[in-house]
Amino acid sequence: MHEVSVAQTIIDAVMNEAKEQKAVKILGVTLALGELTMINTEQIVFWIQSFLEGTIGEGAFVNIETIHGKVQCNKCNVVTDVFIEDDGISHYIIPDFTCGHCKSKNTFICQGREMIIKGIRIER
Amino acid sequence: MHKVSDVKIGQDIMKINKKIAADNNAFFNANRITVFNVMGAIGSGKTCLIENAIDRLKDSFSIAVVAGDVVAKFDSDRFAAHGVKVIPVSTGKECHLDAHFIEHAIEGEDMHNIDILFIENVGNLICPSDFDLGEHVKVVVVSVSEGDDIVLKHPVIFKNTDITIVNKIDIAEFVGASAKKMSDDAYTCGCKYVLLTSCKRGDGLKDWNAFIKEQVAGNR
Repeated sequence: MHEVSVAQTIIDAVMNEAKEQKAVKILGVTLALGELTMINTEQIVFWIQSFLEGTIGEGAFVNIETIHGKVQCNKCNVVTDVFIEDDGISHYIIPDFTCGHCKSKNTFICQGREMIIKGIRIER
Repeated sequence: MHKVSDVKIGQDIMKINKKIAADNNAFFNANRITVFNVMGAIGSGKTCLIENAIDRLKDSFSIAVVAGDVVAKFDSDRFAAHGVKVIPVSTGKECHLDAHFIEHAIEGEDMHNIDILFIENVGNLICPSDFDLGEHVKVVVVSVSEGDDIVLKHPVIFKNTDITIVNKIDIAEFVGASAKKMSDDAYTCGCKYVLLTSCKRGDGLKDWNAFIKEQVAGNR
C-alpha cells in the first residue's frame, strides 16, 4: 500500500544520480528488495514506470532482485534461511521464522527487510 | 554516439528511516520516555486500549500520545478528554507513520517530564511493519471481528511485535471467531506475548496495564 511513496523516493534518488552523471537517458533501474518487506513487486514496477513517463527515463526497464529472508536465533545464535511457502496461485506467502538449526521460535529477522536501489543504466 | 554505462547507487532507502528512528530513540532514552508503537487495523480498538491505559496509569505516570491517523482530529480529541498531552499527526494519504513524522511531531514539544508516550499508528496491518519509529515496544491490536484468520494473513507484523492484543473477545461468538486460534497463530508467528482483552467487559485490561508498567520499569 505504500508503494507510491516508496516509488517516489526511488525516483528522486534515481533522478539525482542521473543528473549528477549528466545522463541524457535512463535505460533501466535495478532494485534489490527484501522478501519480508511489505512491498508488492508488480506495483512498485508499475509506479516507477508511471513516474518515469515524460522524463529521460520513459520506457526504462525496472529489474528487481530478491534478497532472501534470514533469521538469527536468540538461543543458538545461528543464522538460517526463512522458509517461505508460496501457493503459486494467489501468492499467499507463509514465512516460517523457526530457527533452521535448533528449531526454536525465538528468532529475529536479520535479513530480508531491505529496499536497495542497486543502480541505473544510463546513456551519456 | 551515446555511451551506455551502468552506475552503481547502492542506497538502502530504508536507511534514512532507520537513522531517524535511531535518533528518535536516543532522544526518548535521554528523556527517560518509554515509547509504545500501537499498530493494528482500522476499528481493532487501539484508541480504546490507549484510553484505558491512560485512565489507569495517569496518576502514576506522566503520559503523552501521538495520535496518528489520516485525519488525526477525532482520536486526538478523544485522548485530550482524558487530560493528557496529545500531539495529532495527520498523515493525509499516507497509510503509516514513519520516523520522520515522529521526529517532527516531537520537535519543539516539551517532553522532559513525560514517562510514557503512546504512538497510535494509522489503522493498517501492512505498511506500519516496514517503518521503525524509534519506539521501545511494538504493540499489535487485532479484533475478533477481523476474522480469526487475520493473524496468518499478516505473519510479518506479528513476528516483529512484542505483544499482540486480541481485542473485543466479548463478541467473538457473535462473529464466529476463535480468540484462542488468533492467540495460537500469533505465537506461531513468533510473537512473544499475547493478551485477550475486551474494553467493554474489562477482560485482560489489568494485564495490559501490568505489561505497560513492566516495560516502563525495564526501560529505566
